[in-house]
Amino acid sequence: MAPLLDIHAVGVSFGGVRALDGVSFSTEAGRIFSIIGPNGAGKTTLFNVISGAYPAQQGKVVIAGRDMTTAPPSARAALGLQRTFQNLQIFGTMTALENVMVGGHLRQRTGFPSALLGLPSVAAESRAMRRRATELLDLFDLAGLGGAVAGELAYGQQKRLEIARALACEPRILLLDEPAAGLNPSETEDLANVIRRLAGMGIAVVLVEHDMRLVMAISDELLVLNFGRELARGTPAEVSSNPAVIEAYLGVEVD
Amino acid sequence: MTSDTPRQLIACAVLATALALLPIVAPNPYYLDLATKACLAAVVCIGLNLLSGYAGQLSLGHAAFFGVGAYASAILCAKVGITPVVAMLAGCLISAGIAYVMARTVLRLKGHYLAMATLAFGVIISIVLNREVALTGGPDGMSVPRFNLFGYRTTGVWAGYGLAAVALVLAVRTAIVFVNSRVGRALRAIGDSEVAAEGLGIDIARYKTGVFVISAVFASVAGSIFAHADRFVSPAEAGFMRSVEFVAMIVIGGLGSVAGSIVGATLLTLLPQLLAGFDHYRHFLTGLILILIMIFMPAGIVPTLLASGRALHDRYRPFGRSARSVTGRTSEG
Ligand SMILES: Nc1ncnc2c1ncn2[C@@H]1O[C@H](COP(=O)(O)OP(=O)(O)O)[C@@H](O)[C@H]1O
Ligand SMILES: [Mg+2]
Repeated sequence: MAPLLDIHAVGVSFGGVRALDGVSFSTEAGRIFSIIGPNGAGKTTLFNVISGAYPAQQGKVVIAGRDMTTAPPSARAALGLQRTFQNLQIFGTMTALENVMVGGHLRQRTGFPSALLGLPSVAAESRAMRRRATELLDLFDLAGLGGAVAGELAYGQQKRLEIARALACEPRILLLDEPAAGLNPSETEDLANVIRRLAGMGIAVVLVEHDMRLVMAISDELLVLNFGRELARGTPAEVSSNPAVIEAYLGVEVD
Repeated sequence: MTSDTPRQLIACAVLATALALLPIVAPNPYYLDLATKACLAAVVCIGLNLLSGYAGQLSLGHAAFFGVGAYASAILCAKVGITPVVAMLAGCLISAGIAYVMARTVLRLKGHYLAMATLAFGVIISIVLNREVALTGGPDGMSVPRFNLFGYRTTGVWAGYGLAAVALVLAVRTAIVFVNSRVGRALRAIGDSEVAAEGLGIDIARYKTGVFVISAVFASVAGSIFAHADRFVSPAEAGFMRSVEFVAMIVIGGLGSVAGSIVGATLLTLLPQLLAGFDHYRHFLTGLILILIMIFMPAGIVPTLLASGRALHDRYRPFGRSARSVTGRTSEG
């Protein structure tokens, strides 16, 4: 069986900067696959290539067995791919609840004609979506904030809101870009539990994260990037004992 | 931008009642004529606000779609002898077709290409209306037959006002339901963050095209009704200054607000009339008032008033703002 997400030798350059160079990995449903590496290593660029925000200049992106290398982001989302953003991209003027309702866009049907005619199905669909979105807000400790304008929420709340929004369309693959950044230790602990639970539900989680304790605790497999290239890969134990990794990355970041 | 649909629909019913009572309270042809113009400008603005206030796209040529509707009705009724309702629908189809082709061509590109394309389109329409004298009467304009429905002829300012009022109520009702649907939420998401919207599976070009076509049709319908209400059309109605006025109306009233579209359209239609007594200073005073509104209410009149209303409400509640957030803005309904 083909892996759920298969990245094959992707390369991206920005002018003279080789942001990604021959990076490959694949992952499966229910696994937590983490990508680590110093700032500028190309982690976010890799997410942009997977989600379709940037085109891959070399290599292939295969999602659920289909070659999506040149497909737009919306087509990749339709195959069950979702992501969060390192620099939050919430819908700031909409309420928290509406953010999550937009998240369920692909799970709803209403098109322009029925929305214009105001058919009864339109309001019914919104009500159903509103219920599901409320449940997701509860799950992410945002109960009671549904009516708040998302742009006015606290940073940690906005981060959780982005994950809730990404889950609203029941993704099969979830890319999380530094979800623990800016969270305190107890919030990070909650996040670890949430990520484990998502993997338990069968979602393939791909995690980019600087918090080594979190990464080592929850990952099934790790990929270490340095200057756009693979430096090492393996289980947390294998990677943390790899001399190249200790020298290039862990030695600097972890004391 | 509230998602409290039932409350908005009640407001729509109140608006309908007020519009119905107006001719009884103020049975004066001059007032009715002004009210007709305000209603039609509001219809254009509601459509334009869906495009600009929700999806975040600027149009500098919406008066041209108004002109397409107005001249389609004028020419088809006066020169071809087609019945007004069919002429209005033909105007809608032409406007929708033009908008669709423009959007498809331009929306693939990022940036403000739609603003530039609409600007160019407006200029072209103006030139055509002024030059094609045989068809349009040129700069002098042309007169338009009365509106009639299934052979029942309507007469006087009453009929024009009635049509405009009905169009406004329908436009408001349509916009409220639309904005609170999946499609409306997708458009607002696009306005807030295109990357995130696209990542959630929203086909951005398709949605922008759709809302641009809708906004063009709103303007076209308003133009058709205007032609019959005024019994006369001239190129000035389709000109660049009118397009800018429509943009000013939604900015003053409030981007992303259906009620704001009506307030802005009404204010900018009435203001020059209210200030008529000041003669030479009229334009200066109009400009001054608009500048003051933008300084003190940068979000537009309706959103600013709603926000301060909410703030007042909070101050007199024991649980303050977050408690309001829980119960206030979104209700199941
Ligand atoms: N849009 C872009 N334009 C130009 N350079 C970019 C762009 N995005 C990323 N880069 C460059 O690519 C490299 C990798 O960046 P990034 O993927 O953001 O790293 P990371 O997420 O691992 O910190 C950096 O040198 C960065 O400056
Ligand atoms: Mg990054």
